[in-house]
Amino acid sequence: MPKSRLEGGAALRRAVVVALFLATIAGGIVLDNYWLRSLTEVFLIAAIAQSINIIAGFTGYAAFGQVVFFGLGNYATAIAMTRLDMPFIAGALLGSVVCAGFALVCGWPLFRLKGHYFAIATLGLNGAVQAIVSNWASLTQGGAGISLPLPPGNVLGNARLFYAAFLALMWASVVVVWLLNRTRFGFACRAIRADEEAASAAGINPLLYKTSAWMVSAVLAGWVGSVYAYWQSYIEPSVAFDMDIAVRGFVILLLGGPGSVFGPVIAAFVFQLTSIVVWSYLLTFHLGLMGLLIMAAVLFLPEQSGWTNIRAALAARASAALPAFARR
Amino acid sequence: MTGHLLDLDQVDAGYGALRVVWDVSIQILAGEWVVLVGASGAGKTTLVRTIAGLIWPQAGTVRFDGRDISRLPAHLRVRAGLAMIPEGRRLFGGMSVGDNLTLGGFAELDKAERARRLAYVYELFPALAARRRQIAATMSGGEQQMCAVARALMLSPKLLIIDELSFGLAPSIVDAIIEALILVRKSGTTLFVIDQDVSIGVGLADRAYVMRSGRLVMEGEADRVLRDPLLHREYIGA
Amino acid sequence: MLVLQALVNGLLLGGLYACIAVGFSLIWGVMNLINLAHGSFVLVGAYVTATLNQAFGLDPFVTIPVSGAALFIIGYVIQRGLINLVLARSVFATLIFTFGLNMLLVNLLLLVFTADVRGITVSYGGLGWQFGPVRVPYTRAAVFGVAVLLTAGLAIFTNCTRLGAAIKATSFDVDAARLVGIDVDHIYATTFAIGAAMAGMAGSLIAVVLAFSPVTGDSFTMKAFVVVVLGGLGSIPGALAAGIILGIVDDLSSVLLDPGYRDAISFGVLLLVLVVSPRGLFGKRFYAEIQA
Repeated sequence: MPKSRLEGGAALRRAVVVALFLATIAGGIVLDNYWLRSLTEVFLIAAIAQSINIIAGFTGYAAFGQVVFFGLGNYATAIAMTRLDMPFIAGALLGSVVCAGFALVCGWPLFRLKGHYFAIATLGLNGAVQAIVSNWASLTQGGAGISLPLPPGNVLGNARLFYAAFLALMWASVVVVWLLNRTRFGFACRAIRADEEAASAAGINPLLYKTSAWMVSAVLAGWVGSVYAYWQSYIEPSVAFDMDIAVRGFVILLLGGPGSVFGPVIAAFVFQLTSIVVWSYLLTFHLGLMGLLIMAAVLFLPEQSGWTNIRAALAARASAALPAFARR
Repeated sequence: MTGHLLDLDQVDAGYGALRVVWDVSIQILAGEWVVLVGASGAGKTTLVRTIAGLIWPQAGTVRFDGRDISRLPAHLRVRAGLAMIPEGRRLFGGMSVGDNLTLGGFAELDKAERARRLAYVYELFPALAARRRQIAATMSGGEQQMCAVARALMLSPKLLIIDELSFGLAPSIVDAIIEALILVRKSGTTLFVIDQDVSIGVGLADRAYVMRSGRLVMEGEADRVLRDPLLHREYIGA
Repeated sequence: MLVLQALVNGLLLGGLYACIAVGFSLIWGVMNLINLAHGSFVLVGAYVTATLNQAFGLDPFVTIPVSGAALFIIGYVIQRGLINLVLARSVFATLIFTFGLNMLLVNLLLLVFTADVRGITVSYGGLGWQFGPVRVPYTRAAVFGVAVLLTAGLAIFTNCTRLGAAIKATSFDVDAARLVGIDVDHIYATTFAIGAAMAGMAGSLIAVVLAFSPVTGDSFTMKAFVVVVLGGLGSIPGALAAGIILGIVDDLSSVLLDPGYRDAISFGVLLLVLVVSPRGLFGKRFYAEIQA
């Protein structure tokens, strides 16, 4: 039984969330540069995980290449700010439009695919976009990357600013997922995940909901990318479209519970802070150890769990009586 | 208890937290023809899967030929002489009839013996002999069922279990298969036929069990059970 | 005539791509598992060959059985001990799991062999045939020949042996396979081992003609993807044809367009095929229907 997940007790859950909310705000005021930066990365990956949660956890389409929207957000904003002399917010909004449009256009052909094929297609999509961005030098400066105008303010001030920005994005993503959980839209997505044919027979238009969900998740990831570009002040294709972000997002989603509202946030904290510890002690085996942790996470954490899915956990225990191949 | 070919003792079965079969006890003697009837959803297939070893019982024991096989993997039960034809036939769709049958004899390492069995099943089902190169998935439902039965016979099983023999098949096809089963039974194979169709075992089977909502509700001599008005009115609705 | 040379190069390289892909296709088709660590298996084979070549002066072609055997054993153990545990899980669980496995393997390779780019030089490396304007090096021709032989060997194995029949049966219907007496756990492990062995042997061939390092493994996995999707899952002739097509497309695009677009083209091909005809060019009817 996983001990790292809190189960049951709505009151406890609410208390933890409130405590976390207050703690993160306090952190912005109290912490030093190093910790501000580390936590900023936690918020970033939590938001990405929530983005993936919307399309994979709720709707059941494992968009393995979801980082493409992060990358598009990066580049749209960077190009807007450097070539079109737009302010950051305008650049980020442009990024949103680009991401939503991309999800809309690509959704139509891609959502015909299922399971593995969809996952691979998104992987291919990310790879293709990265390759195009790397080579379309006249627009993107290719592999040389783009340097963005520096944000105003001093080092600590900016650190706090971006801490707050990513924190806001993370909580925004939680709100979006929370809304998803409670609305008809989210219900439709869940129905599609459970059984698309049945959902269709019940009058839900799968393509409409899948595409809409993907567009929402794309805009979210795009915003994370936009803020990231401004934060780093320099972007390049291999970082903007790095599959590592997508995989970490997926692992954190798995850890936190696909379909769960707060799970990915908690998991992001646990995962990133573990990663920091590992990185500082085992530089040469960092990659390998993360790989081992990922494998262990998949092996030992039942997929259905989240905050309240005790029934599934019990079923998992009962199903231990079955031979391995009969377990589902 | 002793002397039974198949002996289920208070078996519970299901999937994880979902219990489907409750407290089922069935005994089958060597040489018998036993049927199990019940409406769809009664738990028959889950029970059959437990006997075949695709899932394990959550309680109770399954004994075959005197041996406790409750947790024996399916592929070893086959080699012990327990053959099961699953509902829906489950042939190797993209392979030919001949290949399907040859695979039926997979566990038989003696090529000559395999060839003998192949000749036997082709004799039993001439329609298959004519189609030995045809891709299994392109055959009609009845032909596929014949192929499934023939495949199961390749290892000369002591006990042949058939789940949903008649489902989706025309009565004439079902009759043809039953004709073959009669011959098979004559050659010493014990038969356990599970079906929704109550009339399947009439005049042929020795004993019958009736299952409803995961439990056995009737058992006894086949003709008596299967013609019992109580059965028709309450449990099947037919 | 650069285009002609590119065509020939592409053809020859394509055979190698096919060889890389068939093991991947076998595992995917039979076990419904996309092994993202496939590229690392290829690399292990390449390193085995490079090491034996450096330590004992062995010709790389001679080391092919060694890498095959080594990867067979490694693959069997990994499947039985690790992969088996996640086979029943969902798409992204298995994808992430093999991704994690890949990270581990890459790190191990980095620790043992460092990030240095490696290659092998053989005494006959610079020699070849000259057909008019086109040059065919012995090494590339030999790599093509061996790759095709190995690929054909796999086809013969799956179609003409008892074990091959059992593997095919398992790919069609797992329960039915159990019910005819096939030990499916053993089949899965053997299939994975064979797939890994094919990868390892392809790696030996790669060592002859390409430079490699622990981080180049992902590109091999990606190539395998594209070849399998293009050629059709479960089809070995399809993999061969797709490999050659991909090889030619790769080399032609390097010559005619910016070399940097090579990857974009590969991905573009992948996407195009997935969208237009997911079954690929030669996906056989009924063979290993994908359970998404």
